[in-house]
Amino acid sequence: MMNEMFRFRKPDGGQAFYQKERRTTAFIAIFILILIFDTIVLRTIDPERLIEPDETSKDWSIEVSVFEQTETVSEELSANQMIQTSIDLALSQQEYLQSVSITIQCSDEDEPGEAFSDEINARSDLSAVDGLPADKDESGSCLEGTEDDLVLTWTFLDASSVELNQTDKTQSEVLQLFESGKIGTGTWNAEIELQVVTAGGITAIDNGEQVTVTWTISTFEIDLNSN
Amino acid sequence: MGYMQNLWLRGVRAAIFLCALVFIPVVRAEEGIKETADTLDLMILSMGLNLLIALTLLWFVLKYKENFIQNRLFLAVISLLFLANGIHFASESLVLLKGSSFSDRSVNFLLMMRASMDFYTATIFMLIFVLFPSPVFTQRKHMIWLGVIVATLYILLLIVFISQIVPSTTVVLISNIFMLVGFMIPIRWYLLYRDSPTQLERNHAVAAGMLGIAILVSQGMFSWTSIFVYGGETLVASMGGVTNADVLDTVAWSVVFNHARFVMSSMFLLYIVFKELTVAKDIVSSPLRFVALAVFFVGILNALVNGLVEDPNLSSLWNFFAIRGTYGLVRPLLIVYLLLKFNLIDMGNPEVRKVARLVALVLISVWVAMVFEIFQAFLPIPQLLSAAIIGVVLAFLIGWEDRMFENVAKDSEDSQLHIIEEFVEPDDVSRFITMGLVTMIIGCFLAFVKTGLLV
Repeated sequence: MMNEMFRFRKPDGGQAFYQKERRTTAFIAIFILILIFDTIVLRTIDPERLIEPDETSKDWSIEVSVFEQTETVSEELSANQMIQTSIDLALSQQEYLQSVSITIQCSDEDEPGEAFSDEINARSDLSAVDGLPADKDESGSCLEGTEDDLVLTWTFLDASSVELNQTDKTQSEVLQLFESGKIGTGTWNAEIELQVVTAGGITAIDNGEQVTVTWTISTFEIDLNSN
Repeated sequence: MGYMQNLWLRGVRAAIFLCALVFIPVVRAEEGIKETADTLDLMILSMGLNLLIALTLLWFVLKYKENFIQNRLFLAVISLLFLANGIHFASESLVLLKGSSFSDRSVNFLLMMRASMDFYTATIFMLIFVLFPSPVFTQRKHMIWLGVIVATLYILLLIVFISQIVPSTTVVLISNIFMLVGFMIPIRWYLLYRDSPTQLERNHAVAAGMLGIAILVSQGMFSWTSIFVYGGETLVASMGGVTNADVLDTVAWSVVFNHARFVMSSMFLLYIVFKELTVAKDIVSSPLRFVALAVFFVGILNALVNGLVEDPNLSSLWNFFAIRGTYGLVRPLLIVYLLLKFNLIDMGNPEVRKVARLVALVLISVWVAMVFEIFQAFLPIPQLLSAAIIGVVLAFLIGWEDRMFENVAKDSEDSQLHIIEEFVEPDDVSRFITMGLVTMIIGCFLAFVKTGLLV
């Protein structure tokens, strides 16, 4: 009796293999389908999502690696013309934002004298940036021979301000120290306008300048080692 | 005589009740400000429970040789499973209790021994499914060969894993393929015969479902919500460990292979839940339906705790219950139920009955302690009060256990299974026990070699 029950085909009933085993076949087929789906998901998912944080208190040493990324736009501007520039900022799981800067250079090389020094005006629009950092609106003179005429900086977290040896803290508590470096993602917009200053309106000899805008994004990554 | 026995039982109950009310509060209050929610407590409880059941079953097998050989062989293999689990918990408890005073090598040895015992239990699953409820092989030569093959496979894979002759991923793949084939035995049996018109076939299907849950509950059944990974990623990790995931950019293949086991056992659970809720009224198995639904809802609770609870104390206690508690606490309960329900131990013998009742009492006590340990983690109540509650609950359960025990152990139509008279030779039981113990010792010895303690 026991042996008969195990047979794939019941000898008395004479059922075909697929009739008796249809549930088993369906079970295995669904299993294979789910397994294929899960394999694809698991192999493409960020492994960090699968690691549970270690919540035991330990002593930690922190290694910080700072990275800088720049993006430059350069245009010849006439009076009251402007450059509209933007960058998209995204951070990976391990990345933290240290600061974002806009450096504007304009060399007023054709000015005949001090009264002819052109000015630039930079305005930011950070409404699409996570954490809503404050907008800035600043002006500067395009003095001949100076390297940076205007620098706008937003600092989120100075990596050097965090003590690199932390004692009796959980991993989450250490990561919490860097929390303010996790904002600032999104689209950063800025407008840079050139104002030509010409004494007495003599535009023929002072009609525009080469303006260079450089975005500098400073990020850092941390490596936690428990002692 | 009967009156005296009854009086004696009442006396024992009263004594336990008084002890619970007087001694437990004092002992627990002595702990003072010590945190009561501690996974170590549960680990030690699990160790004791597993070793107790293993030794009791071995005693049954060796002493009561008149029991059916088929039952004795299954009990022998189950006792080896519990023994391996007991050693697993003993190693881990020792590391937690005394690890700081041990050398690194000794701690590594204990941890490696825990791993080799884990692998031992995983390998023995196939043997269990082949033996019960419906032996796949009904002749001696097949059964003993299967035992030899399983033992050889365990030792070979362990040696390959330790010596790293091939990448560990290959070992994980091979062992998972063997395990999946083994899992299909009770699954196929349940799928085929759960709604069979023959009572005996249905009994086998119910027993297969119950044994399937008892064994596979440790293979991801409490994490069934992670069957499609999304929404349950952390559960995948907690059940299988993310080998090298923090080093590599992608999840290691070993995690994917291990996940296959969780998918199969979760599908089995969901099918049992579906089937037990839709099967015709007259063939419903209330215990199986209850157990399947309990595991199903614990799975939902597990997802909620993992997703919502931020208290690390409660999380670690819950994770212990949901991961290691599956084979430390849940499996013993279900296996003891199976043994009683399907008369695998000769309950007609008064001596056996007494010992079986003792095991049931220990099971109840451990479960009450565990529930309170978890309960206290999220609802801090004074030590004295909680201890008094434990005492009262225990006293009630011990009274209630008597009736439950009688109900489960009674001979009824739905507890009959096929018994094969000439299953194996009587000596095969001791051969299996010897082979199992020797294999276990070799596993521990290989852990010894791996950690360099021989050099």
